[in-house]
Amino acid sequence: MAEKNKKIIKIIIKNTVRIIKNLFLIPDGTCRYNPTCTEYAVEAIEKYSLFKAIIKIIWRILRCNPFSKGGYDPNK
Amino acid sequence: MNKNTIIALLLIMITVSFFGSETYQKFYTEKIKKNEYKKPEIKKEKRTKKDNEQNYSEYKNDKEIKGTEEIKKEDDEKKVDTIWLENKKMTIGITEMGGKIVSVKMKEYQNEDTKENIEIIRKQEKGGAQLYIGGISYNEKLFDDGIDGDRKIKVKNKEDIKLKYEKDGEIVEKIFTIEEDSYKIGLEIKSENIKGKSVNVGWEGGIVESEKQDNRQEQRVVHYYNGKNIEHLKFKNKKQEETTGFYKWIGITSKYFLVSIVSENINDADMGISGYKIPGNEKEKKVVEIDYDISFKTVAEENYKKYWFYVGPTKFEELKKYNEGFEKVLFPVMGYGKIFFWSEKWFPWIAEFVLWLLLMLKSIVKDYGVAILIITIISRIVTYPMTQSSVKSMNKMKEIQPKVNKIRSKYKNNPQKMNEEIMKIYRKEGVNPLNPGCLPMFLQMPIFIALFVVLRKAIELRGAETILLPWIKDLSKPEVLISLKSIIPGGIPIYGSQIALLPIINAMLMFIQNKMTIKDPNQKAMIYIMPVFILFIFNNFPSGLVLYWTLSSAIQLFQQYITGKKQEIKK
Repeated sequence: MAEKNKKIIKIIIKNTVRIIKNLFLIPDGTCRYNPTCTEYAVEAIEKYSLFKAIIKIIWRILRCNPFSKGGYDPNK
Repeated sequence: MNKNTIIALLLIMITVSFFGSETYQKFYTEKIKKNEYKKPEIKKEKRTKKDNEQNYSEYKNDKEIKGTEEIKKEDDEKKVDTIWLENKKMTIGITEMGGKIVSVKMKEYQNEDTKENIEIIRKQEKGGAQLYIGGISYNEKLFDDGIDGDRKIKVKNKEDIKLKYEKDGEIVEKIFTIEEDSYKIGLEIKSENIKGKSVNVGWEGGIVESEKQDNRQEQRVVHYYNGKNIEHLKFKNKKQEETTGFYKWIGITSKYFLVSIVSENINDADMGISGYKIPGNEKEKKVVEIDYDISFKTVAEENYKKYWFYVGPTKFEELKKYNEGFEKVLFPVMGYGKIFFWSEKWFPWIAEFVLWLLLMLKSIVKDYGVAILIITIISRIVTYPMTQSSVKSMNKMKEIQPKVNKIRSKYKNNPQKMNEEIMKIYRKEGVNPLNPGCLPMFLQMPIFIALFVVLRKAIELRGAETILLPWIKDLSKPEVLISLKSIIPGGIPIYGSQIALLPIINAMLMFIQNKMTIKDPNQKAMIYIMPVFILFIFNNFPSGLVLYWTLSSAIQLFQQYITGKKQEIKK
């Protein structure tokens, strides 16, 4: 049951990311990284535990600013 | 896009919308009716000393007693008079029974349906300005107002109403002061020959939720302010919440109104919220009625105490006038909102700025819809450099996408090689160094949220109409183009009981936008799901906000189209 709940939470978060992107009218070409923050977030949630994934996503978004180099930055 | 994703999206939609829907509300009220006469179960409570059943019967009585006329009738039998004071902003009823405030009506604000002035006090037979001295209640004792003639008084400049209780040498005096053009009600308490030293002044009548459509969600909040920081207490489906401490003022807000007791100095205050359920149905999660009770207690050595009440709208400039920090009740950050980097410190500033901007523009163009349009254009201009470079690089990425997809399928079984190859392409094509990055986009978010909060909370926008969309009666409420109430009484689940035009336009814009940009086959379904999602969610949002969003996405779409055309020509 707990496993199932976690799975559902993950799916919800994954789609919330997409919804936020759409809702706040963020164009696709915004991100300085590849994969983009949205893709990164979705991957991270699939790959890591919920807590770790959220931390990673926040850290990634903080890095994705005009002063960063950007470039290729996959989930390792 | 797999099955799970679709299920999850549906789940989000349902959770967001279901509890707010009228269907749920109706289902719920019917449940109450069914259970109304079940056997009561008595439970002792620490704070109120009353049990759930008694609270509930009081609630029912209160529902039956409507308007002050009936209270007046009752008064006549007991030879209790009510004094009616009227100033420029409100009408106040003060009864001789306990010298309480039994009615406060706002002259500037009318009920949506009945068009009558809004009555602020929820429980009029309890009223406000309760007094206890030495633990003894003076609320059921008969005071004398010393007025012979007409008890309807028009306040000119300033009016003092003296109510006196005298028995066996005990004297208690309550003096109310009302000014001509103010929401302030002053209260002085003088006593003689009374043993008890502690003076307790409270407001037990609570506050009415004046807005019909918000009844489904408890919006009332208790606030307390110590001269520096404001704190909030909200009912959270527990049976009761309570807190004590030393504060300068304490108050309860509904969506648009504030009732507050202000003490001269920082004083010992008591705040309580108790919700109660239908007797005999303790399993039921939702409560029928919530009581709000605030009071100050002090030790009065000199037999004299002074307080004042603010009973009026939570209108920013009005609240600011009193220099007590009342304006802090307007945009509070509560609960989970606090986790965002000290948001309770900076978010109110942003909201106040947005409100200021909106009011300022309104005073120039005389129309809230146009003011929102101008704000949209301003925010688009400010973010133009950012969005422009995003759009440019988005178009570029779209060109590379087929190559990337090719590599992805080619090196499916060798992720490392795949990454290397993709990296090569990006290096070759050069990911636009002008990309603004995602963080700046997120920094816009507080402004979006501020606009949302302002549209919902600012009383200035209550009943605001616009020439842009003449059928909208109120920008702070969901738009109603065609009401479905007569056709489908409960409304369509999630969607609501009205058809609104703006969300439909918005969904169409979103569809075009997605059609233009989403090329990733994994996300194909998003092209169709997002617009539907937007349509359902926006249908119950304040129409002013949906207006902002529609304009915003229309401008963005236009920008994308133009930029795309230009880039094509360049080649």
